[in-house]
Amino acid sequence: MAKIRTLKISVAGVRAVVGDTLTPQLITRFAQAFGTYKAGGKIVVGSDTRVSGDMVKYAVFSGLIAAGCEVVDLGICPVPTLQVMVRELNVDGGVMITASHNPVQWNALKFYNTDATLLNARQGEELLDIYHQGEFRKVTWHEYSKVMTDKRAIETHIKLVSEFVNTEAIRKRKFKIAIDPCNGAGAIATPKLLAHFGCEVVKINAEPTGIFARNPEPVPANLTGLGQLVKDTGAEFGLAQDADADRLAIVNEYGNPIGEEYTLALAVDYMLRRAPGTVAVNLSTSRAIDDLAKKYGVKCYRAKVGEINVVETMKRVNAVVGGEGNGGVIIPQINYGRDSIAGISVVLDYLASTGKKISELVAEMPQYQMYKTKIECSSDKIFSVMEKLKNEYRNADINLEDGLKINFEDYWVHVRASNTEPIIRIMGEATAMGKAESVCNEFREKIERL
Amino acid sequence: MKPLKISVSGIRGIAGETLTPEIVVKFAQAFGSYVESGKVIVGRDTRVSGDMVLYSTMSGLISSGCEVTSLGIVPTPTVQLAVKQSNADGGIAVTASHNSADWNALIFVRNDGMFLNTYQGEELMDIYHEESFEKASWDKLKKVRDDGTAIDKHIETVTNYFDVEKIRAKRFRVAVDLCNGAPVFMTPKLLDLLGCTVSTINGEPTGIFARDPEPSVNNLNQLCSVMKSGKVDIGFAHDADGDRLAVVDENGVPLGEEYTVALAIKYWLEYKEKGLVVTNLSTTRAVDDIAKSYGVPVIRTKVGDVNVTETLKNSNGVIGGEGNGGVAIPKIHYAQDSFAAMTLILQFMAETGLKVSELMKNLPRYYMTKKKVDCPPDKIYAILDEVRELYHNETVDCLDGIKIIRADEWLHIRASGTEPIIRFIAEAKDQARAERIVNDSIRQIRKYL
Repeated sequence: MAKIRTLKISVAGVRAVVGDTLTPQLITRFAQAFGTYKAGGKIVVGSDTRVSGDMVKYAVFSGLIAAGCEVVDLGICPVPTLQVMVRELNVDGGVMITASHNPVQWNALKFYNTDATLLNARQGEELLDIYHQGEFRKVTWHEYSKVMTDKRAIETHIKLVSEFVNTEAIRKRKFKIAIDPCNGAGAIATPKLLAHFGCEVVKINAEPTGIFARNPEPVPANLTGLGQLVKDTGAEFGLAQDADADRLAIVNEYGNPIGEEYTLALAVDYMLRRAPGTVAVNLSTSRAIDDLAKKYGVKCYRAKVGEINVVETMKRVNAVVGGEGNGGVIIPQINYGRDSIAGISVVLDYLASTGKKISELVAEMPQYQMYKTKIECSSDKIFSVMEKLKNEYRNADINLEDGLKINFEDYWVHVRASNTEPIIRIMGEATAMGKAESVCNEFREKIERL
Repeated sequence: MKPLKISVSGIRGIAGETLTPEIVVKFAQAFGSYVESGKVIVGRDTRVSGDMVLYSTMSGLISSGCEVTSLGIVPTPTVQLAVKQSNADGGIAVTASHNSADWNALIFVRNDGMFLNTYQGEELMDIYHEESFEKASWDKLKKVRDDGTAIDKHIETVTNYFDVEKIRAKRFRVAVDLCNGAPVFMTPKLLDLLGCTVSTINGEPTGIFARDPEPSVNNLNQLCSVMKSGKVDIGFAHDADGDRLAVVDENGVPLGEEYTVALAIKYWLEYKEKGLVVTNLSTTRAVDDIAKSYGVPVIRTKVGDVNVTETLKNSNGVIGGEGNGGVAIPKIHYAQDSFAAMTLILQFMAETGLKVSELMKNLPRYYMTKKKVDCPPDKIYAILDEVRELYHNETVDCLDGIKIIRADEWLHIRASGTEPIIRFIAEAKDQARAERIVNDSIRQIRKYL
């Protein structure tokens, strides 16, 4: 079996392991490539709290300056905050330094367009071509700019969401909330947001150290600490983010995670209640969203997995809400990107306007259970494994836009290669957890045999 | 011709052409590996490309596991002193020193505050070429620490060796040309402490040098005219990173940068310590005459800061420097330090009650002509061989290029360590003769170019 690689250079950017493949040369070359792609211009740069953030950031600054860019340093901020600032400052693009939900030894660069969306596949290809050709834009020394610092990013983001929801109603409720920002960018932004909404906050993993006390992926298995905190403090619910605070997970008043799928379901229900409109989610997202769309008489579109694919579909169909079942809520009126700050704000507004508890709101949602598992698979095997699987199910109700999704009468299974790690992800959803789990395990064994 | 010099004395190039972030990052990684992921102090001069170069330097150092302390915009000798005083494992000064504003460079400092010598430079080059860099895992990466106290510590260290009260009592009126460089943040503070009234030119830290940063006589017209228009006791001019110093007398007449080190040696031997003097092959013979009058020996080294400072250390020299305006005082540190030199000269004036022109009168007088000729790097050494042939009947010293030594004059022809040029330096009893020696030599050598 071939080595599992620790460097991923793809249309989604560059992602690598510190002390191994993530070298300053690699980063500074990518920054120069992006500066070349943008032909100079003004670029905002932000980072999550990872310990490697400074090393990566300095290499990014140097590369951008050399390519003639004006750099605005936002410091540590959530990914969606960087996106907000791209539009607020009317700049030409953005670079976010974060490996999102990947473990602590990883770091990565994500690249943003002037409209604050991620580079799409075609744009990513163009960037890669420049990177590989290695002929970067070089301006003469007197065109170099100084790095400017803008400390208003989080403030600006909070103002934006605050104007979108009913802030007064939320403040009146004086929520007591437990948070777990995973020692990430949310550790700085989330307490500020909740203070703005007049909430009392209890915290776990809330120092912005970049040393993640738990696995950054906000899946139920990683939220036991938050669940316990809710129980111990009598908080009304708990909020968990990944390291760059694009994804949001919720723990109910009993300390039980409601599942990241239901973060999106709550947000979709909230938005459609406000004003019905089209919805777009990815292929792996719960059927609950289709059911909700049906309830409000609107269409639900499905896109390939990956934020930019959902965003582009949302733009195309003019969706009012969308996102990914991994806890990524996208509300175009706030941000064309997954935004936990927006997610938190609409959930608070939903609770405030209905006077209900989290468990009560979730009980009103269509009920599905999803099981997710993954299997390590070296890149040389992934293709043949996927081909064999597709062949086996060629006569079923399948969707091949992104890996293999098989729709059965009352359940579905989605098998796909990760964009960011050498693994195959298997997801199954059914009305009961036992069924979802057994279906996934059945596919897992099948893949292991292949 | 590619304006990039990768050599044992570091890496020097034109920002935006040859000096790219990748090259800088790799050199910083090589240095981080060379100091075994230790503590490294970084500082920069005011050059516009300073941020770009410093960011990639810091990134490379952090990735190799170094603990980086950033001093911000400081003179090069300040970096050297901070390395020594804080027991760091090394330092990097981001500066192309006296080169023009489009150049930048990394100057590597070892743990005793001196620059890397040839052997150490070669080791660094080997690491650079092998790309066998230390790569620290995420939990070994350290945060950059900012230290804004380095200039104050430098001033305190220097002034400890002199009689501040005596200088203050004189209330000297001083004009300074700060070359829009790193001295901008230090010289006014130092002179204020020394009780001087200061008029400043080129005092904005823009990195866009209003004059050629080399503090040679030709580049001091602005300073001289300021001096002529008012009552000023002395004028000082720095280069961009504050290792070199030139002096202008109270009448607005530049002493010539050779006489900075000559004055310093005279003072030190007279008032402080009598002992061995070290200077380079291109420096004025006035140094030998002064040393002889105090009965102390002189060692001549190859041109280059580290050659002088290392010899000072190994031979227990008491003072030394280079004729380009660099003065090194081992008691303070093994570095060419324009601030130490400035304080020394003010003390000399305070101690003797003499004006600069009067101090000059007591020094042996020689006249020097320095010229440079552009030469493709691939031809330089072949041409120097031809030169050696040309002068084979005379007394020569081939330690560094070729120095032709005659009874009361000399000519030194050598390749620059930092630029693709050949330097011609002649010294004689009068200016016209020195000029003629250089011009004759250049004419003879042109045919090989």
